Amino acid sequence: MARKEAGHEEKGFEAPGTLVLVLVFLAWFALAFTVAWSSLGRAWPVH
Amino acid sequence: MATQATAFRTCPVTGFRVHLPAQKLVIVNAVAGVLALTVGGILALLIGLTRWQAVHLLPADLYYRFVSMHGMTMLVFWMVFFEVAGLYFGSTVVLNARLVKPAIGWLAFVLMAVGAVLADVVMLVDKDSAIMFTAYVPMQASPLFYLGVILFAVGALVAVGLFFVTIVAAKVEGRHRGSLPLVTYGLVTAAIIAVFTLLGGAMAFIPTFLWSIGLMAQLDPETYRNLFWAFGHPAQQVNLAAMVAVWYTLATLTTGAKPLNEKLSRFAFLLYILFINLGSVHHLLVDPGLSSPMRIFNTSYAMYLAVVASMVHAFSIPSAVEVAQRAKGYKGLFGWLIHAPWKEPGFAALAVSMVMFGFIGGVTGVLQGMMQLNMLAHNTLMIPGHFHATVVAGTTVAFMGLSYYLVPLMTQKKLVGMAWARWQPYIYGFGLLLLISGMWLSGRMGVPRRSWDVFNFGGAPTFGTDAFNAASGTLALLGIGAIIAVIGGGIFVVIMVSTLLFGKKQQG
Amino acid sequence: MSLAPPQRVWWKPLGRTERLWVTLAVLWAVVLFLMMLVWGAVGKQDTPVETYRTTTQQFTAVTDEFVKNYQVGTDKGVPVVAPPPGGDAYLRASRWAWYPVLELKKGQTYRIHLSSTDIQHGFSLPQEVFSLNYQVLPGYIYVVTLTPPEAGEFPVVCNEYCGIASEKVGHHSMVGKIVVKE
Repeated sequence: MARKEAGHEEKGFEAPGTLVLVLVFLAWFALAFTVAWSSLGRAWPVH
Repeated sequence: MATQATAFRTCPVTGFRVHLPAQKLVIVNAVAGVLALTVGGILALLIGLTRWQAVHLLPADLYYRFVSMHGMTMLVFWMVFFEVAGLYFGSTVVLNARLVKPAIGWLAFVLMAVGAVLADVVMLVDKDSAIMFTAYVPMQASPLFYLGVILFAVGALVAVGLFFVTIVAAKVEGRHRGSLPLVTYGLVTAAIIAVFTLLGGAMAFIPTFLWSIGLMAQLDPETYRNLFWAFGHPAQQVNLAAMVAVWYTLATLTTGAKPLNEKLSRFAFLLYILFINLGSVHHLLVDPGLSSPMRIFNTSYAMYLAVVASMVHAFSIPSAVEVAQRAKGYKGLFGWLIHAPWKEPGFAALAVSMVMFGFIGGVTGVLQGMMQLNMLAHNTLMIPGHFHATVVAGTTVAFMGLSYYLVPLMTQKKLVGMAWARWQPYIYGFGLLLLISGMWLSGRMGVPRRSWDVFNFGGAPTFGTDAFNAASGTLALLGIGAIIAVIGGGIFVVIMVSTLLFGKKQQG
Repeated sequence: MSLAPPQRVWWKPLGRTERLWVTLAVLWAVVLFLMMLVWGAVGKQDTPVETYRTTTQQFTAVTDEFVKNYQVGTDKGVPVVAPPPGGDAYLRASRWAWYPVLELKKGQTYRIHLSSTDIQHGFSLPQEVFSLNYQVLPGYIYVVTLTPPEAGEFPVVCNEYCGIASEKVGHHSMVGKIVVKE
């Protein structure tokens, strides 16, 4: 079992589906980030 | 030796050796938690139907009392009672070990129960003591309120101490060999964070209690805020660490998942311990008195190391599920996911919890906690929008999912209403999605949290405004979401109570 | 099994997917961190940090003095005060009112001194989207330097729970006003 896993690691990704899912999450995070900061840019100047 | 041997039973399904005195304490703490959840849930419905301005159910006085009680009951009492049940489970059953001093466990339980009832009753009967979960000085509640919180915290600290001693004893007595299982390791993380959380709570509430009985000068308001949030936010990180431990448990129970690399998962738990407390300063981002570098470093850089930790878990758990599912022969990019056990309540809860915690709770939390962005969110409904996604849709859903296995295992009774349990996480999650969207979108228009009337401002304000009238739709969404979520939560409570009372006895 | 002791293989290196994801997560955390510094340098909206100690008596006195010097009218019994453009303005929070009404000029910058004379309050100024929010504490002056870019009447809402006297008077009725003129 251990050997099978070790062989798995060298080629390709162990969990390609999960990689896609977490990249979707990161994209969503980046989108929310962009929207939030651009909204701040529309507020009254303040410091 | 004979007496020790009879104190255990072996579960025929899981093979765990269950220490009977520990089992009793797990059950009693879990029941207290579910009771708190029930009280908090009823309050949630009433509050939700009041914020829905078209319904505006409660009078102002009751609204503020119930918001105070709801916050304390859910955020502290429900969570901590359930976590204590989890700590006893993780340190005895998972390790095949005994609970060292059950009597201490009962002492902790009594302290927590008395404290919880005292604090809630004081908030219910005394209008002036309903000063919200945060209880910011110089607002002053009755001394009994602070006393209730302190008793609860002392009880929780005793329970955490018993947990540590039990783990050490399991090692010393040779009942457990080698490293701790990942789940128990996660619970140790939660317990360590709980220690400094409760110390922060003591530093905020003990001087405040002494002030309320006239023995000490009032704390400086900003000092109180700093100390309070050394309790208030890490308390949520205890929930976070416990929730992640539950995620790993549910993934293992429902799919046989095994983390690809436990080194990474354990390192991520370590990051929580080291950095998450510093992140609590994000509650003070728009307070007077802190310098910019202090705000940026504490709230953010240190917090981001904890964010990295959460992103590691967000990867580790689904990837473990994916590998376990692929080993069963599911092919393609998402074959493993499509054929996941969606009808298994534990997996449904895991999926709902992870998605809502990450995509909504995590993202809003990080963004609203950034220094400049916090100006847009502080004390608006965006804040409850964020933490209902973390603490309710995340932690509570995960704890509910675990209960579907923990309660039958501990009570040796068959779960009543399995068909309902399969749907419960989805119903509850859907209600919460509406509730959270309603809150967040209203908060985006500037609607304040903890306000009874944002349309007419009590009917006769000096200056009114129609600035929030546009939020009527999103506030309705909040109310409808609250109704559905309370139905979902009610199904959980009914399943648990029915199992306890009427569940068929299982072998064990 | 997360419920079983791990086999002692912790030295097993991370897999390719894991390494990639951890790298991305750390880089993203760095982006989050840098954004606050970048915005602090180029953005027009930054978190105020200017703070002074005060007392209830002192802040009450300076606010009264400010009202006496610059009052231009009254609105529902509350003085309307027009501070000099570029100058200092004082906004006093107390259960359950904001005092006084401020009259500002569009495009001018004002240093608004916020403090409370009793308990904690919250200053909330609704914007086109979102709102600007600051904590108002007794004993502290928090100076918020604002430049209103549009004319109109804007509410100041209290968003920190501060108790109630009755249904009509309490935290939820604590609404003040800022008027911005062309």
